[in-house]
Amino acid sequence: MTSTCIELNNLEFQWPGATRPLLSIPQFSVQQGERVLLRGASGSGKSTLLSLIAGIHAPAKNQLHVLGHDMGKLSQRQRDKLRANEIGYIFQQFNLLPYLSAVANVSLAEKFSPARRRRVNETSRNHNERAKELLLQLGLNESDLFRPAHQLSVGQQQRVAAARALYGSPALIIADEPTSALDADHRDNFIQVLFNACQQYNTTLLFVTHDGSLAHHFQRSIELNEINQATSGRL
Amino acid sequence: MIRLAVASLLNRKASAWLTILAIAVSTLLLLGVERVRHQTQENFANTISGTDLIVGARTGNTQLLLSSVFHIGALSNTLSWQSYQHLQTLRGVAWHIPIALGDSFGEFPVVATSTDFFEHFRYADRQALVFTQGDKFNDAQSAVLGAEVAKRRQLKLGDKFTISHGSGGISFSDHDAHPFTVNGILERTGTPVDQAVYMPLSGLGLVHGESSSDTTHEGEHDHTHEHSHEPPVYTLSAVLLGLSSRPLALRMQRDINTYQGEPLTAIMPGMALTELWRTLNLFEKALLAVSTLVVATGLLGMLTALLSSLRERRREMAVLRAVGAGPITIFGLLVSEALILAIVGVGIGIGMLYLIIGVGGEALLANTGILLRATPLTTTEWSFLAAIILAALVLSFIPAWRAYRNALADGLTIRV
Repeated sequence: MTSTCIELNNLEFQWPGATRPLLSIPQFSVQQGERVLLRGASGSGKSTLLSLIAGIHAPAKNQLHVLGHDMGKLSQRQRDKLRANEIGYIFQQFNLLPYLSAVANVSLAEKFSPARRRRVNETSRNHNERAKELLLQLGLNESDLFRPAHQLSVGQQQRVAAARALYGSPALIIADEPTSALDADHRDNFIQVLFNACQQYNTTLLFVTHDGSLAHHFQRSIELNEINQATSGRL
Repeated sequence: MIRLAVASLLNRKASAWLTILAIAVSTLLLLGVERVRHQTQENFANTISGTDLIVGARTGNTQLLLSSVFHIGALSNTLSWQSYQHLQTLRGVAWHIPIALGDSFGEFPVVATSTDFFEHFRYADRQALVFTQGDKFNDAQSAVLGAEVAKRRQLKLGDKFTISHGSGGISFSDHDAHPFTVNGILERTGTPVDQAVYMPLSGLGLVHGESSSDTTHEGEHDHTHEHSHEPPVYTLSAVLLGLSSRPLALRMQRDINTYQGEPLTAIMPGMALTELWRTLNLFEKALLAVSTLVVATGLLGMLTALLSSLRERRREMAVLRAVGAGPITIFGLLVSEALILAIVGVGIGIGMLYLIIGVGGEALLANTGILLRATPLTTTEWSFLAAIILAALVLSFIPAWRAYRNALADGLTIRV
């Protein structure tokens, strides 16, 4: 297994019809198990970079490797499969299907991923138990586990989302401004439990935010503007 | 994926139930129309059995069939007693039933006939008429009631009633002077027999003053007196003939149609029925077309509901994409939602059909005379149901395709 989790090599990306590339990153990599903060103002190409890493959109060949796979060579279906199996994704908000319970939302992660199902099988006898365990670890109350997601507070919803991202031990978790809807207390607390869980399962964390004040939590903090020449050239 | 689809639909309960209801009602209509069509045909075909020829004065085939057997409409021409006597002498005639119509008891038609009617008349699968109470009429002033007549008028054996001239409703010439006594009540047959009053020809002669004497020699099929004396009535509406061998019917039909004594029409009931269906074909098609359009409306309602839900479900789709669902899965999700709606709707429609037949069947029979039975679904009905579900499947490709495109375009971006 390669120790490099994400590797960018002369990544150039522009939307069809655009005149200039949105991303132009000569070199950037994240090691397995690393927790990296990626900072960027809105409009700096953050979301695009994340959707490339998550395999929603495809870059050109040999520009982006995730977990050893050249994302430019994989088909749409293969990229979806890689995301299902190895990438947990946490949105800014609205992470959950509002009509499912917290536990059902967490086990949604294995619906499309045989690999996660298998890994849960190895560590735990009961899948619901595993989901509950993660939710409790991330600080949800026992009484909230089976409430429909739309009844939970925003903070609780983000924890459920984190539990889902961690469920079945994927190699990489991408968190796209997961704390921006939280107040300061909840934010620090959320980051702490997320860190602990990532450390425990040796999961790589790519944490994206526009809020620089979070940098002190992280081993490494990177400014997107500094690595992305497309943006810096324009400014 | 099915479970996800169900959960998602439950989240949109109101619109899901309305969609299901629309599909259920349209299914009910389609099945109902088909069932009425099919079972009415069956009921009509069951009304007469074993009769090889129906003979009347020169008239249309359908008219003769409808008035003589179904008591629908009136015959304007009659055939003479002499012709009836001639028919009896034809070779191969095994039995004959004279029928004189024109009077009524309230809304029920009065059929004047001979006791041969009870001997030889067959319905459904060659079933004979059975008396629940009493027996055939035995003199000119006695009558036999169909099951429905006895039930609706609450008449018992020995009760007296009067008939009136003309068919149904209010008549200005009631035959009040000659009351009839109920001498027998027939078992229910599910055919027009239930709705009729039967009395001897001599009784009809009596009330119309055709018969010369009202005393002794009436009624019973005493063949000797027919030749010797005045007939009980001078004219008949129709004669049912049973032949000793069926293949004779075709030739005899031709012989009767060319009878020199007076212009006559002979029909074979089965062929006349077929002819009748051909006439009604257009109406059936129109009804079927209308109910098909209603089904289409129901399905279009589903399409609208699914399409308009897509906008508010982009978040849901993004979440599913994030946990690894491919655009194909999103496509499949929408298709399975449509299938669930259609299948549940069709199921409820079937349930409603049987519920209506079970609960309202009696009322339907009493009010419209349409007898619907809760028999299992026929092949045609199954194929209709399959067509509804197939149409739902095809229509669901539209929202599914939209969702697929959205999923590709939106990716993980959540648009609320």
